[in-house]
Amino acid sequence: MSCQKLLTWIDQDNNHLDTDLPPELANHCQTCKDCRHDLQTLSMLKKAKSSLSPSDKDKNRLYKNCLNLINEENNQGSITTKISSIMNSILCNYKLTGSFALVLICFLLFYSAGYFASHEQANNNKKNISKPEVSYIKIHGTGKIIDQATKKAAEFSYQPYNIIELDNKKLQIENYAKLIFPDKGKIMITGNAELTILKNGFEVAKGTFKAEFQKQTKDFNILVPHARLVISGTVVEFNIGLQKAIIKLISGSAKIIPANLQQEPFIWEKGSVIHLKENELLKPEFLSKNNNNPPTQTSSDNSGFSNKSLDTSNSKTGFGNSAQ
Amino acid sequence: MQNNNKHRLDNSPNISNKSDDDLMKAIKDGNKNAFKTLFNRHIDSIARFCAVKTANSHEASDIAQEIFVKVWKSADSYKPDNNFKSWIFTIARRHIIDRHRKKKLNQIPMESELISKKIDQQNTTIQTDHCPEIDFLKNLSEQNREIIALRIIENLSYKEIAKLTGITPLNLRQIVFRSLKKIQKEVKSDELSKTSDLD
Repeated sequence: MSCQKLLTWIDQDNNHLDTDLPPELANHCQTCKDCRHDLQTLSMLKKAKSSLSPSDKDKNRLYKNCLNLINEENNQGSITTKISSIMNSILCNYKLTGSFALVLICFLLFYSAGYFASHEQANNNKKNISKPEVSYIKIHGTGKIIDQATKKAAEFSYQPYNIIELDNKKLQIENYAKLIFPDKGKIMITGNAELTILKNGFEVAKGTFKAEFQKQTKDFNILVPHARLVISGTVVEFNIGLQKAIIKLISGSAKIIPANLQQEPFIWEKGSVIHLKENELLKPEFLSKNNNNPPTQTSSDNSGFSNKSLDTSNSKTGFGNSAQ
Repeated sequence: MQNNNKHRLDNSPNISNKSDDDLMKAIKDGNKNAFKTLFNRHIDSIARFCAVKTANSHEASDIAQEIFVKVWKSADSYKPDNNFKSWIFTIARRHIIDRHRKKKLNQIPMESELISKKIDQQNTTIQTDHCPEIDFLKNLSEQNREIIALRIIENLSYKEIAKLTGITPLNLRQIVFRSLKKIQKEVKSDELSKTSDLD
């Protein structure tokens, strides 16, 4: 049975990590091996306590974020809150009798149902009118945002979410990033990548990374040098270099639209890998199921890919603004 | 009347000396200074608790800020009883559980592979890839990590933790004891493996 003197002391509600050990116990810990180990564990937790606290800079940013979120919600002022507060004030302040209150509740429910129905209809009408999408995304993680026009780079970090305009921006992701699109579609990227963000997709210049796509309301477009991938609910692994590209579909589904538009689009199956070399034309045969070796392929016909380099230029990849 | 109070608190130079309950009253009236004071007072605890419970320090700050938005929104329902800390931890716990639930619903099959994280509430351990500061807690279940965080790091009494978690103080004591021993074991085996690597 090991000595539990220190643990028994900790066990008392008034004693905790921040309290200094009584001299007696401190002396005991120097001689008792068990208690010394316990003390070590507690000091590890104490160390974690200080390292897990956000820095002052982070605290300020978090506070500002909180205020922004609160202001946003206050501006929206949901109808349900209004109804509940009206009901609350009626029932609490005026102490109406049960039947009258019931009639009022029915009336308010009827009114709110009508309101929601008309609101939904209005929303549907709005959807039919094609309004321009909001052209920003939220991002957090580690990396840089580069303005391609001015060549200025700004670092982005884990907290808080950075909001970036899409126009003319290139992202250099280092290790991890989470992107949230205006339609609430999310992408988690782990690895290193150089991306140009489009309204409902991105173009990959180079990088080795894994991307997980969640919650897209629309199909998501990824432009790689030889094709456009149309993705939904998917995990895709990319290894795109200057000479070759390897893309692996881990889960979900994807349709591939070859850059050479004369070719028919084809469906990408889970577990399959695409191996592409420079100047090669993407073909369904390029998909190898669970195979890391590139399939033998000799074709390098002139399908609009000659002299193609793996840079982000739309003119070179031949996609134009198709993803938008 | 309420406006007068608000005005008084706004201009009070000693707002930082006010109790949590007083600050909550002021927040109820829409006082943002009071909110800021309360935020600065508790953000550390909440961020730490979220980091330990979720084992993801990236996510923890996000969650912490959402929790404070909830505090602002729920100020009306707060009953002053000198127990703000328990109240905010209850909000934090529920918020994290809700987030887990939503995440589970939205999760596509391979997410677990990508972020290497299991989100079972009670009995599984979570890989702490996203929170190296608490790597030594990796063998504890989420529930045990939570209890260690509340008792040892945040200094809540067993009674308060029992109220929060629904576990009796006696069981909580056992969990804390066992968890500390488990951490020790983990640290020892890590040290052993490091020394054998060196050999």
